[in-house]
Amino acid sequence: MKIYRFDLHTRRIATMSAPLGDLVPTSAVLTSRPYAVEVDEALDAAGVVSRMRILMPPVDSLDAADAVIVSGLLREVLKSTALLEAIDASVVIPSGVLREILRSTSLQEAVDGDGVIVSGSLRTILITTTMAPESIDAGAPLIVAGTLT
Amino acid sequence: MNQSDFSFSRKHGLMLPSSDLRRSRDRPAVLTLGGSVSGHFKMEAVRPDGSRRFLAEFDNLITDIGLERWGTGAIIGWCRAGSGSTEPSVGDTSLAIPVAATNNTVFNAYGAQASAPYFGWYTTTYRFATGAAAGNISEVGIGWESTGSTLWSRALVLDGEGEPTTVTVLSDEVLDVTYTLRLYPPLTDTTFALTMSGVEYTVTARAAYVTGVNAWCPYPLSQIGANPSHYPIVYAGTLGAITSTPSGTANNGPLIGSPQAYSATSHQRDILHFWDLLYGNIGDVTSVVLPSSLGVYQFQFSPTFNKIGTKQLSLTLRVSWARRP
Repeated sequence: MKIYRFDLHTRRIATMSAPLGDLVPTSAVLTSRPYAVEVDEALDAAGVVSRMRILMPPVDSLDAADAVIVSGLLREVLKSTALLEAIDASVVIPSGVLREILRSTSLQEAVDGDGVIVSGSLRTILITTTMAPESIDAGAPLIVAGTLT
Repeated sequence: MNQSDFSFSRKHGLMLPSSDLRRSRDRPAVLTLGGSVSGHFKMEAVRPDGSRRFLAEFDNLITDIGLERWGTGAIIGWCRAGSGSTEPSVGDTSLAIPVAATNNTVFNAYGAQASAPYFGWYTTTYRFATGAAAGNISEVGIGWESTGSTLWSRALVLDGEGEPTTVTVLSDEVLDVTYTLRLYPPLTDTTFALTMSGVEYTVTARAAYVTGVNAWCPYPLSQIGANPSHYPIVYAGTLGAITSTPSGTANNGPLIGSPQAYSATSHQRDILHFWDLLYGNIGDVTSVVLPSSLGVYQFQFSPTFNKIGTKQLSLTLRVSWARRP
């Protein structure tokens, strides 16, 4: 894994061979996946670094069936997005816009249980349309005839 | 731009175009300020699944032929998708421009609300095969056949602001449409007069057991009046709350109610309930419960009448249905 830092002395981006201390979450560097690492820096008007962050890649986990996202950074994003994402009773995300994006990337090639999404496919989306409830009124009931004989 | 062209930016908490992320990383330092990337582009680009957002705004319309159809048969069974854009009207009989139809259901459920507002519901999800509904879809409908004038409901696809829009279904995509029908019980009592074997009674009518799943879920797969959910019952006591039944000694009839012939355009159905010599013999009857496939109702008689083993009792229940305003 290649990690970058901004060298305050040379004022250049440098490459490090070791994690940047507390800037890099321990859990993130333990991933075995070959994610790239991004650097986000901001400079003030004078061109001096005012802020720098190491952007770690997402580390998300699918369950055994690759059907739901059970944990990870993207899952948290999905939970907080304004897009409609579904969270079932056990607090997993079974469906939604961003989830489908995630599942269709090369990093998250998933096989759906019913075969809708095929492993390796970069773009297979299940479109779900929900028609709003329609309503029927039951009118006042009547007894229109009766016999007791 | 394909979805594979997007990468996750934790900085923005969004999927962003990879090209924009590269620009962000590679850009000279002097351009850093104010050089952030808007997330709006990518959200639109990944929108094919965004139809789920639109649907909460759908304004479904039950057709006149749909209301009439329920007097004689099932009202649902097929989901249709089309590309028409004409405003739905109660006079619609089919989609404006049909594209595909399916009777493949992947989910069915029904139930009743346990607390106010009370209603029973029936929901089903139709799945179009991969590619079957490919193209631009702007209208959907539910009906009892795949073609022809057999449409129970029609709606335009609407966006989050309630404006008509188009959803593009790709050739390698499936389309799921979930449809829910609700049945609302009357919440207030009604009173009417009934003459039975020469005696005039004042009868008070009230919905019963409105939280009962089988009592109040609508049955769109059969005509109104077919297969009422329960047997009729006579009671010695007075009416209960709408969530309950009358009190006192009770005895049911031998059979479920029998639907009578449907009168065209009436949107009402008579159901004959019957107690023979062996059933309902509790003596003085104050109330009865009469079920239908359009809810269960309780009625209180004044004065009471006497049901014993030498008398047969028949009561004809009339139920009606209408589009909820």
